[in-house]
Amino acid sequence: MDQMFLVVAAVVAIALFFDFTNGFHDTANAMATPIATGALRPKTAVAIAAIMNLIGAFLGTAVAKTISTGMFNEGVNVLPQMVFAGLTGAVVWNLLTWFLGLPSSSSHALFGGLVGAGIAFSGFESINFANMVEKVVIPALFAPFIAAVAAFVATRLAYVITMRSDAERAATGIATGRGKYRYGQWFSSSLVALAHGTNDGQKTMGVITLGLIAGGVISAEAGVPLWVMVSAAIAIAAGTYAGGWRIIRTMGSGLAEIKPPQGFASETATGSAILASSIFGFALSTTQVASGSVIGAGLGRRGGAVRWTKAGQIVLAWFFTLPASALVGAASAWLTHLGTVGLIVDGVLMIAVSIAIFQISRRNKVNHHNVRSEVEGAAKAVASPRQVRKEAQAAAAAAKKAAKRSTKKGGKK
Amino acid sequence: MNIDWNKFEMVAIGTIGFTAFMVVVYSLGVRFLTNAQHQEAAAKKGNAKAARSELANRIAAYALFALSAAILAYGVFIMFETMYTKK
Repeated sequence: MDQMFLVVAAVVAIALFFDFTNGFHDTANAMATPIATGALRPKTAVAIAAIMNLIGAFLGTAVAKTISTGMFNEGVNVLPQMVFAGLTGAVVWNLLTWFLGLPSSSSHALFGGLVGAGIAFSGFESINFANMVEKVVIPALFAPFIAAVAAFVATRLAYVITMRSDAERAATGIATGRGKYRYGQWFSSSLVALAHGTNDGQKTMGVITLGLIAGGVISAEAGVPLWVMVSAAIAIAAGTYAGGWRIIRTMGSGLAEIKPPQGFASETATGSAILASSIFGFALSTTQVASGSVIGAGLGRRGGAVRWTKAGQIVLAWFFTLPASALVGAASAWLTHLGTVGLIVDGVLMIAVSIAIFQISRRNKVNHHNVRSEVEGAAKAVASPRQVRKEAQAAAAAAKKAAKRSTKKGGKK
Repeated sequence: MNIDWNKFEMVAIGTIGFTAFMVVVYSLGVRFLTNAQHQEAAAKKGNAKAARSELANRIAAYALFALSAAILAYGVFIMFETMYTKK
C-alpha cells in the first residue's frame, strides 16, 4: 500500500477525532443555558444539539473553504504530515481544556496547531497571515463584544417589556410570566446548535480537504467531497451527543446566574452572530461568542452579576489557546520529520495523552446526573405559578400525613 | 493587508438588529399571554369585557409567537440561500 495513502488516512482519522472532541467541547455553547434554567433536561438537550449540528454541517462550505485554501501562502508545499501535526496540537489542547472545564475555542486550537506545524515545516513565510488576521483574529476579537452587546440590549428589552407592577402581581397572584421564555429557549438553543454545525462542522471538512489536497488525492479546485461532508457531520454530532458536561457546568453556572429571559437573549445573540459570520466565511469561535453572550446577558438584568474571576480565567485560556496548540503542533511536526517512525510515535503519543486525560477525568466524573448540581433550584425560577401552587399543596399534604402518623404513634405509647 | 470593514459592520448590525427584533417580538408575545392570564379569573366569573380582553390578548400572543418562529425560519433560510449562491 502506498505510504502517502496511509498518511492521508491517518489525517482523516485524526481530523474526525478532532471533530468529535470539538462536538463535546462545544455542546455547552448551545445547551449550557437551557440546562441551567431548567428549560431542557440534560439528555434531551444534548440529543437536540446533536441533531441540529448534523443538519448544520450540511448547510454550505464557505468556512471550510477558508481553511482549505486560505491558511497557507500560495506556493507553499502543504504536506499531509503538517496537517496531521496541526491536528495533534488541537486535539491535545481540546482535551486538556475539557478536563479543566474551560470553554476555550476549538477553532483557535485548530488554527494554532496548523500554524505551529506550518512554521515548523516551512517557516514563518509559509503562513498567510493577512488572511488569518482578516478571517480569524479580527473576528475573534470583535465577535464576543458584538454578541455581548446584542445579548445585553436584548436582555434589557426582554425585562422592560415583561415588567409588572407589584400591584398587578398582588391583584392576580400571577407573576411576570418570564418562565415562558424557557419555551423560546428550545428554539434559540437549537438555532445555536445549528449555527455551530455550520461553523465548526465545516472547519473539519476544511482540514480533511486540506489533507486530501496535500496528499494529491484531489485537486486544489475540487471543493469539499460529499463523503467528507457526511463523515464530518456525523463525527461532530456524535461528539455533541457525548456531551461535554464539565464545560456545560462552567458555562451554565460559572459565568453568571442565568434566568430564562437572559438565556433566550444570549442564545439568540450567539446564534445570530455565528450565522451572520458564516455567511461571510469568518471562521469565528462559537465558544467565545457564546461566552460573550452569557456575560452580556448577565449584565443586562438589573441585579444580575457576572463572575469576573471565572470570566478572567476563561479569557486567559483564550489567549493561551493559539500559542499552546501551536507549540504542541510544532513539537508534533518535529516528530513527523523523522519519517514514518516519527508519525507513528506521534500518533501513539497523542492516543496515550488522550487516554490518560480520560482516565484522570473519571476520578471526578461529571455527567448528566450531576451537571446541574451547582445550579440546583434553577428550575424553580421557570416554574409556573400553577406548578408552584401544586408543589406547595403536595408539601403541605405530606407534612399533614407525617404529623398524623406521629400523633397516632404518640397515642399508642 | 486589505481588511473589508464593511463586512464586520454588516455582521455587527445584523447580529444586534436580528437579536433585538427577535427578542422584542417574543417578549411582546410573553407580555400578551400573561395579560390574558391576568384576565382569566375575571373572565371565568362571567365578566364579558374581561373575556373579550383575554381572547384578544391570547390571539395577539400566539400571533407574535408564530411571527418569531417565522423570523427564525427566515434567518435560517437566508443563511442557507446565501451559502449556496456564493461563488
